[in-house]
Amino acid sequence: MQLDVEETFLGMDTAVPLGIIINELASNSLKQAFPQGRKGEIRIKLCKAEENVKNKSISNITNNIGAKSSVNKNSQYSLVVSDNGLGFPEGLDFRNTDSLGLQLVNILVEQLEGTIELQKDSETTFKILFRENN
Amino acid sequence: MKKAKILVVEDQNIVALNIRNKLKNLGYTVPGTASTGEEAIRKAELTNADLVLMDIMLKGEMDGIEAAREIKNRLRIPVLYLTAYTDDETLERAKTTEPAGYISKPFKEEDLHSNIEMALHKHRAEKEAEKEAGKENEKIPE
Repeated sequence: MQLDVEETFLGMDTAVPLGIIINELASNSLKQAFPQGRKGEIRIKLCKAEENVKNKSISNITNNIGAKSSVNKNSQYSLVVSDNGLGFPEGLDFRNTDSLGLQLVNILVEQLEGTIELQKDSETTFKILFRENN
Repeated sequence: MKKAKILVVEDQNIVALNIRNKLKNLGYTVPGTASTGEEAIRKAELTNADLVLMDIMLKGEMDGIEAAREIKNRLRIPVLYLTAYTDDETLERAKTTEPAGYISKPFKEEDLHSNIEMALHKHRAEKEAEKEAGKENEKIPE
């Protein structure tokens, strides 16, 4: 398990769903990606996202000048959970499965008003973009 | 009888999913869920729901009580509160919207079932009574 996590302060309404998302994705990797003693790595990365929505962020910053606390308000974050195991099954739509874990991940991303993407190459990577606002 | 349509309003999606599954087990249909007051009003109107299960603490500006007022007054759909709040002030505010009932969380599936059935029945009876009254009024000018 490899962690690459920036020190960040998030509100409870963001942190709790995020914790459940990480738990579900990491335990999926543990259970599915490494059968019969297969070796590998799970990586969890959390960082402030490179803004590709620059305009939005600028307007958010101006909006926040008068805000009482300026700690990480309205900035975009990226959470990446990946593993180099067997790979996500072909023909399975992660947005629409019987897996309770993935159902939870999807509805929690929706609750955070974020987005989730799956990349399937040599690694299986879930990338979640979300914003901290309150 | 056709299955009653129940709109679930809840800002925590896991709780919403749980309520939705419970309602389906009880034989109701859930045309959607909403996590803000505005969304609740829109979806109540759009899906023509028979009943709205309303949480009080919601995302956004509008809380569940304000949304319920609008849904009850304008759309005439009965609202059943389902919330963790049971303080007097909230209860007083909730009363002013004349809800079909008030269930406090955590709730039991049976409580949900019986409260929904009572609410639906009461609403149907009221509608019937209104219709009858309407007919009576029509007769008067003759």
